[in-house]
Amino acid sequence: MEIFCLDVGQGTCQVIMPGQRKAIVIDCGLQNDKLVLQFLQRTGVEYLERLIVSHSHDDHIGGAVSIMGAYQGRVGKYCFVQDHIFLRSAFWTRLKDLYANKRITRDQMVRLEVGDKPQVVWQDESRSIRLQTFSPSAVENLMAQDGEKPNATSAVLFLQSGANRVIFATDSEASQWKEIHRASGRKLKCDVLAVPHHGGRMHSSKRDLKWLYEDVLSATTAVVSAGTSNTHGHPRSDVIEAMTASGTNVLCTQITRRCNGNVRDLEHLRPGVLRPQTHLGRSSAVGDLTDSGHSRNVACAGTVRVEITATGVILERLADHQRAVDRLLRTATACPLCRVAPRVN
Amino acid sequence: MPLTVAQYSPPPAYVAPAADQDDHRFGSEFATDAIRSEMSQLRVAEFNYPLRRICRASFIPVAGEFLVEEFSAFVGHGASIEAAREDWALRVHAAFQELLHKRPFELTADEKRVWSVLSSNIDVAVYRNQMPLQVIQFGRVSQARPYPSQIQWDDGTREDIQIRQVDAADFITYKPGQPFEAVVARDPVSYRLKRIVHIQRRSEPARLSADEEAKLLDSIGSSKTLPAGDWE
Repeated sequence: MEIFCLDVGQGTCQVIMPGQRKAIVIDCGLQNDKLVLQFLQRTGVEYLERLIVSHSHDDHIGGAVSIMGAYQGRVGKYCFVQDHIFLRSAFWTRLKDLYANKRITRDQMVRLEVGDKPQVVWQDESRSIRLQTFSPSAVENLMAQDGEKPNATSAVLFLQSGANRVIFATDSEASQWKEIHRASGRKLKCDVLAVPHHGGRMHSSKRDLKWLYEDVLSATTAVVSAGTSNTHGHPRSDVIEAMTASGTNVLCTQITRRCNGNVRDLEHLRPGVLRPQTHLGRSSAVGDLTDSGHSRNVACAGTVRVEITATGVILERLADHQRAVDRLLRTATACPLCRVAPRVN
Repeated sequence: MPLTVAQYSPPPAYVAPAADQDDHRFGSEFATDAIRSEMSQLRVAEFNYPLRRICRASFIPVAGEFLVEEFSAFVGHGASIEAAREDWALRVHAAFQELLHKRPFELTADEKRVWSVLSSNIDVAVYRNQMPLQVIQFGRVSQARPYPSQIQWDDGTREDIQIRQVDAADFITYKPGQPFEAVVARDPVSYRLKRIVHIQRRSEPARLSADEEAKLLDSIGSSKTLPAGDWE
């Protein structure tokens, strides 16, 4: 089985490929961005077992509509969280149109929520691989419909294949992890963590971060999906620090100015200096600048491919990437957050 | 009826000889000898497989076998050189298409060996980058001056279109606002529209009323109806 943490710029998309030309898509990247659809087609995916949107922010739900059109009649279930902006989303408009025109049935639509236990969103025929949802709870889901913080009710998903585990934290917040920790009563270990909220603030204090990455989660590798030109300060240095302090190996899909001495010109690192482009990703665009002339979409790890084998988890070209980050340390402005004590915040 | 991408039925294979060589240069001094040639490209109908290097092909008349040194896993059979060569090319075409769409972890040991032969001789990246992606898309004509010149897709994006890019004669009669579904060939790298290979009008999609939408929302099941998992 493979898992791709797609480099979609400032957004999130993970694709699970269990084989037989099938896939499960968790979030779809930016509004009107067809990158995810392009990726699915180039990799020969013919059927989507699940199309999951964790919440209704554009950087997660945006690319869904083009996927829904192209894979019409070839999606098992559409899973979503009904937060307060969901009913205004193009995703819902498209979903109800599909239903009105009898192209999908009501049973294909699933509102994500958990009861006392996690719910199995998908499992393979042999039941050896399963994807569960850990959050939001039914109460959180109900509150989300009237609330104003879709992040706080984002779906949290947990993939289990034998002894290996991957957590997709989407944009979840500290309050959700407190609930997950209370319900599970244990520290959740995983091989790969798709880091919550692009490595940004989760309505959490520094103490919360320490608690999250020391007491609640234990990840071997963490993947941050963040875009070079994001204006939210993602990933935050205290988040990276909390993860690295607990021994987690951190990768980011794109490099940001926070890893470059706060200098916004990262053109000397393009294209994909830290990792040659081996998979489709937003950072494969060459010479991509913002309107104000700043760098955008410069690869760090780029699209991250994770393979779960009978003997363990392999992150493709991880060693190459680590060496490239170490080399970057020797350049004048670079200060990769995953290597050095943070200088800016 | 929803559109489906038409199934491909393989037309006759064609193995092009090296650019400076024609078929008549296949030859030997004795009937029992292998007939040798060089092969610079492999085309099967409209599909071009970019070869990484010039390959050495042989036809053994006595055995009716067509072999290519670099593609050791494949032998074509036929009474004539043309028939054996076509058989060989179809075998390569079939194996390549089968394995191209498998993920690496799905390959058996034998398949890995065959894929290694294929990918060491066929430039897979070039092949992928030259084969258009075919996408089913829904949209409507957003501009016609006087003929359709712009399309608005159902994700809200707009794209200019030229009549000559559409393989349907009556597309020229589509009026602004006409909804349709189409099979669109797109550039695999830039994702730009190359052609519309199939298009058909559709009726104005049905819409749910506010009451129907509310009823639908109430009736959508939650994941609590799915099997319970655990925290292990």
